[in-house]
Amino acid sequence: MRTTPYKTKYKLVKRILIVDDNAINRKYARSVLKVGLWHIEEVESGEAALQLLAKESFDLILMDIQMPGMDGFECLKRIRADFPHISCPVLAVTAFSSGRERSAFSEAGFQALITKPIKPSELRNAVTEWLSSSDHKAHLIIHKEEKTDQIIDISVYEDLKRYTRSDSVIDIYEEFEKETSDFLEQLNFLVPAKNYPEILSILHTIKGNAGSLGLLILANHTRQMEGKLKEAHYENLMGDFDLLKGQFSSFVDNYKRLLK
Amino acid sequence: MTEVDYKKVLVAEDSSVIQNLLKKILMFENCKITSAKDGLVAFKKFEETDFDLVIMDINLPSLDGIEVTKRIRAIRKKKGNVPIIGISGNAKNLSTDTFFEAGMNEYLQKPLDYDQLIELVKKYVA
Repeated sequence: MRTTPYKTKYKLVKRILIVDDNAINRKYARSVLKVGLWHIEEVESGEAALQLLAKESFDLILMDIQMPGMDGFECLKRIRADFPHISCPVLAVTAFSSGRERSAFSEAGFQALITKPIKPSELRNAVTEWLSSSDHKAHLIIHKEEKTDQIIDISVYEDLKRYTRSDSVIDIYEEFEKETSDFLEQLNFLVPAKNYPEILSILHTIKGNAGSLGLLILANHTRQMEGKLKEAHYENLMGDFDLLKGQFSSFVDNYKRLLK
Repeated sequence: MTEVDYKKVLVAEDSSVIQNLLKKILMFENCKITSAKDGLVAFKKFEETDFDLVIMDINLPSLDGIEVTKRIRAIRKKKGNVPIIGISGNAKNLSTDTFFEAGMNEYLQKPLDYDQLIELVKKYVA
């Protein structure tokens, strides 16, 4: 028995299992994947995933890595050991700064790695791609990460134009320039003063804005800075802040040309 | 019949980038947006006007979105029953219970899926 998709009148419904301890993340994934007419089950732990897999079969598993108790790596190991017949793709979901090498994921047997925060389109694309792929032993595909070196993800800009029904949304990017300049001014004082809660709050806002506008370099760097500060790694803050200022300047110098 | 047919939406969000983006997007759902960048200001504006919907960021200066939501729910009048959609990058890694226990009707994780947001807005203001 490999998979037993439920039969509906017209098509076979693919079944997806979400394994994540965080209810918000599960709800997010479910709502993003709702459009796909897939059947979605969710469990809150690796242990619960194993119990469910003993009874039901799935076409794809979305596995969070950082979970209390059995983590994603351990869970996949147990799946491989206890259910050798399961051959569906297992996609790892993890925070960018989790510190593991990419190769660790492919060696463990994950088909793909999706890094948080997850853009809706990215999750849908990854799931669609892997559900339609017949070759589950394909090489590890790193979603998104190869794209973090872009100043602007133009597809996000196009999406925003569609949502706002405008020919141009450059004013939103101008707004970002203005607001972020103010934030960097504030950080000029806050960083030497080591006011970490305020610094974190500002970085969090810049990260969210940059993410919403598809500013990949800035979003990625502020996410890493936020991660370090949250774990009380303050030693590179000055250098990281200088880098942030440099990245912002390069955004300012280039975005009008890029969005033309 | 009232003379206005738009819905009044309060957006409490500390970033003007997201504020303006939401304003542009929700304009097409017949929403008139009132913006507040700070929790106390948001609550004050909420008290002054009757809103049809509140979109609430969590990470707000002076009073966070959870606290503002609790204050709104503490109002023992029809006003206190306004639908509230929470939006956040969830910097503090809160559990969903925190949002719903505070009294939010819905919660959306950032970066926002605008299709999803529009769908929710329609659900509450249609």
